Amino acid sequence: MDERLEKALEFGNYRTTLANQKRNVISRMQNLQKVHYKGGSFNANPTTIAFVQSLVSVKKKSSVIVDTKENPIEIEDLEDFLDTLISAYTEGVNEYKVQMDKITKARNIKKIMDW
Amino acid sequence: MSEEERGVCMFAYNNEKMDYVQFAHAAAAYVKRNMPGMKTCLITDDGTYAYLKDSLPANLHNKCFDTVITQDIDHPSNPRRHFDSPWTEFSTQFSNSNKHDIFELTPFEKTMLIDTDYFIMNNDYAYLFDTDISVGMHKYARYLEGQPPYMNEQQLSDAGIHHWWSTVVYFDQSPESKLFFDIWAHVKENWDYYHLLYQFPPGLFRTDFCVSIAAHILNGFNENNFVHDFDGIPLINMDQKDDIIEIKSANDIIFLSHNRKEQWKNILARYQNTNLHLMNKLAISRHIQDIIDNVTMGWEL
Repeated sequence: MDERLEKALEFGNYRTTLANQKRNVISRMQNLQKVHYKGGSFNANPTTIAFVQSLVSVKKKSSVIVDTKENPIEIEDLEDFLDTLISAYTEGVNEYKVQMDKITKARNIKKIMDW
Repeated sequence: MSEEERGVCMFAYNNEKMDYVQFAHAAAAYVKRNMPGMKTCLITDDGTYAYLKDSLPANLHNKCFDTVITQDIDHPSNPRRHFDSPWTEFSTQFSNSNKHDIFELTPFEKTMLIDTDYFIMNNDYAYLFDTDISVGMHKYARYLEGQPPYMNEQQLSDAGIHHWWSTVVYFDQSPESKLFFDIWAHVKENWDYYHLLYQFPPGLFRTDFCVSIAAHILNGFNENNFVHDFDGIPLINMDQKDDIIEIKSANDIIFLSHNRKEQWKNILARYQNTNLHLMNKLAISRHIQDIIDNVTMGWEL
């Protein structure tokens, strides 16, 4: 095989593998950012965090918040809920950063796999 | 709720080709490692249990399972086609006819039933045991490269109802849960009728079809939310045509993922701290000792 083509195909395989690994890492982050609180399901994403922070900043202590399943959930302690959301968000993005740092530095498939 | 009231159960019935009870010990070891405090229960038959006692170290068995339930039962013939890579195919008995009996058999108040080829590599299911959820199963699935399931794993037939996965079934002892398992049994007993009604192939008895029909009926013949779908988190399947390349550590596995259209093409896929459904049983068999060694690392065996 022409060496140029061989290298191009090898690079194509590397990019496919890299894209797949990135997708896995993003999925893991999203799973870590799922929060179950008072029987409701929430995503600890910037939108939810900002909304809850807004309620806290106008001195709200409690509120009803609609969860990802469209259920109204009574949150009695908004500050505690906010802490829980931020904790889950941080855990997810930290894991994402650690894993992405590893795979973006890897310049071939073996290094992506740490193999 | 005390720890005794929550646990993970699994059925394991060996056949001439598959040592399911060995898989069950790997799966239980994963539960013990990644779901702290969770109890485990093995449900098996007398023959498999006798084989277990001869083939597995007693201390490994005792560490993996808190409870063993044995039954003297006959398994109806249910041959299933398996692959091991795209190039090897074989058929063997698939004993799954009494899976719905778990509602009566479980020693736990809140139970998660898993297949023995499902390895739990994180603690993401823990929240379930602190909720009022009656029944939970995976509604969605993905394969190692993020591919969607095959068509017959998305719907029971063309334009048919949604396919739910019985690989992981969470349930409590509520009347709603009992209703779910009663319908599962009813579908099994009237398989010929339901295969015509829901237009799925009758050849292989599949518990996925039973739970899909039960979910459809209990959801009011509609897409509804009686059955919890684990927040839409998909089941991650390793295809029977994929292979395991290396067990890097207990929660870190490298796979060879095949291309469905051009089956001679593969890419490597690595999964860490992700729950995995390893459908290629012979691939598990080839690596089972390595898996058990890694998962039980640090245990006093």
